[in-house]
Amino acid sequence: MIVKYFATLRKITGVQEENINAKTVGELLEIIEGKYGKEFHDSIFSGENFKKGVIILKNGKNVIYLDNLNTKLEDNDIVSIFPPVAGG
Amino acid sequence: MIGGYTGKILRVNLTDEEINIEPLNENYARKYIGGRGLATKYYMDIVKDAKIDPLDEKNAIIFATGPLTGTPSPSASRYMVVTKGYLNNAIAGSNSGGFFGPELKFAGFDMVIVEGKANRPVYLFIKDGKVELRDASHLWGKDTHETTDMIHKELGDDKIEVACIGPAGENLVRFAAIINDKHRAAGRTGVGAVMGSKKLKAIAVRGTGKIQIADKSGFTNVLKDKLKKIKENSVTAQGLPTYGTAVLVNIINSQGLYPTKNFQFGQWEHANELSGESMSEKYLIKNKACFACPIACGRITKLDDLDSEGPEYESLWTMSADLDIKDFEKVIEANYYCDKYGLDTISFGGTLAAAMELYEKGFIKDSELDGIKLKFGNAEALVKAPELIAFRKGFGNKLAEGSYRLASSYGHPEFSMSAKKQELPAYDPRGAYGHGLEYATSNRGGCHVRGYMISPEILGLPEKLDPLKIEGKGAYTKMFQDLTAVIDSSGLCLFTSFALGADDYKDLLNAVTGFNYTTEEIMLAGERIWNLERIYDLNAGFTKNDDSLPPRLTKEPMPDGPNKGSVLPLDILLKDYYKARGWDEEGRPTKEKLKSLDL
Ligand code: SF4
Repeated sequence: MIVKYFATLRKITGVQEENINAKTVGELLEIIEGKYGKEFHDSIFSGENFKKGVIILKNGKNVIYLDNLNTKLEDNDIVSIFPPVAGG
Repeated sequence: MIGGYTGKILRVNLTDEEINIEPLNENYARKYIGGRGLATKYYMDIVKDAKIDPLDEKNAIIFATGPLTGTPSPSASRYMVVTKGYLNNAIAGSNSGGFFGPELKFAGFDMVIVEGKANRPVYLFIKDGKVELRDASHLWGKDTHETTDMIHKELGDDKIEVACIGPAGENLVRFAAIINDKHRAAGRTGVGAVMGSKKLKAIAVRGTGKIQIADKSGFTNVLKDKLKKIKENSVTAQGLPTYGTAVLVNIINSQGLYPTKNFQFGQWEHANELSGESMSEKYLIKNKACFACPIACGRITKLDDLDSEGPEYESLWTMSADLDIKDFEKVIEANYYCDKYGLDTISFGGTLAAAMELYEKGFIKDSELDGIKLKFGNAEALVKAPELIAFRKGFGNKLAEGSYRLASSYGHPEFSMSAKKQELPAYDPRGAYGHGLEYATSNRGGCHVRGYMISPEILGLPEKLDPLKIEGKGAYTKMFQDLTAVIDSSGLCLFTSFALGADDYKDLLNAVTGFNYTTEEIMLAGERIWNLERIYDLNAGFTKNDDSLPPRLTKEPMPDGPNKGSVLPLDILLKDYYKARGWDEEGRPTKEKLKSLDL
């Protein structure tokens, strides 16, 4: 599936998007953390939980309204990951 | 001792060129805080007839700071322009940052109240308590940048802060802005046209005074605590400084509420190419902060020989996705012209979007257009439009009336994406119900900064709400609107609220003013201000029927993206909201409610 990174995460990953396959959102995040290390982890998590304002979307739907870390993923899904950002 | 306020109000009558200085009413100050709230109270005391024509000589226009403006409080940069708006006849409160507001305080005034009409162009010069009305005949016709530079030159001081109108304000464009610091705008509701009708080209201020702090040692600690919160918050410490407000483009687009082609769609395929991230990569020179702002969300951008600021998120959206224009450089250029000529970018783009839809659907004919095709995607139309509108040239004269009057003149007001005749900002409420409620109930018409429900519904701040749920949205929207009224009245930038909450604002207000508010009292003041504005709008002739949105949003299902099929259930949301506000079913504050607010 395609994983898209936004805002400050792009500074860590060095790419805007890439192909990674995983069965769930949780598994996907583990793979990404394995690749980019603590800096990525700290941008997304505070302890065990997502940082306030972190947004993870599966095909545009926030995973907290799906099955959160257990949300199932298919090959043709698009996952978008945002650190806490805002504007107006 | 009361701190924060200078204690002086400047009153200028342009008809007879009379200048008076009055003491601030301290009871009012405590009840309505300052800025938006206090100025609305003064405005309603002075202009008794709420049905007045905004351009009538008897209309007043007020430039008001808050008690925190100009203090070292975080982002204490704001002043508010309060009048009856020319765009929609509602109470207009338009706020701007930069350095003008603080300078007005240093010059000795909390507020400037301007009444009457001059018989020739004039500008007001205020320097350390001294006030002078000066001839502005040579400035009339000049743009906001030229005006600022010429005032600096003729007064021999480039530290003078200038808030002025451009040709758009002079030519009474319905959505003319007041511009300070060349690129900061009190943009919305057509306040620039009211200034233009008074032949008041500019207010120039210079001051060296100090603002008293009631509890100095308490303030030092409070300030430390609030700055720490801002520095530790990912949004105010990283997101906004790194990418500016345009960082929102991808978030809003990915979640399917990025209005595209006049709100016909909820996603735009080119969003990532014209986003905060790509702007930082290609055009950003450096950040720019308003007075005392640790966030510095402003962008200084460079494009060939054009030194510009922005575009901010709303401006970027309204000139790109809303018009389907993919040329980033043309967007930067058009945004620059809007600042230069003194136009509100949101209403500018929203009006152009409505015109493009009317053109593509065959209502606007080529014969009306002097050779410019108003097709979606036409970047040439975008860069030419600011000048045509500001000078009311050719078809620009029709565009200068705003989208609602334009679309109505072709018999199709439904193509105007507006609320109370003011163009809507960059979020399709079919993807965020609370935000739709905020659009419909905003006292100044379609607006996102009267109670920014995108924050909880989409960004998850301060907590995550389901954007497509109805329950509880009435009370939440009310709470956000009341808190925003407090922030706008205190003189701080709304963006501090991503890191600070009601208790923090109370701490700052107490340390500076010495008023000893409780958190409940400041929230009550916010509610009082909201209800005061509502009373004004009701007196001006607005009814429940005006708490409405275009049928596209409430009847046509979203055609694409993650919100496909969604419509905004506005009627149900409104019922819930009126109840939460303690208003009757017609949306009028009840006697009991007014009594409880001491109104
Ligand atoms: S956050 Fe941005 S708009 Fe607000 S005061 Fe700071 S620089 Fe100005």
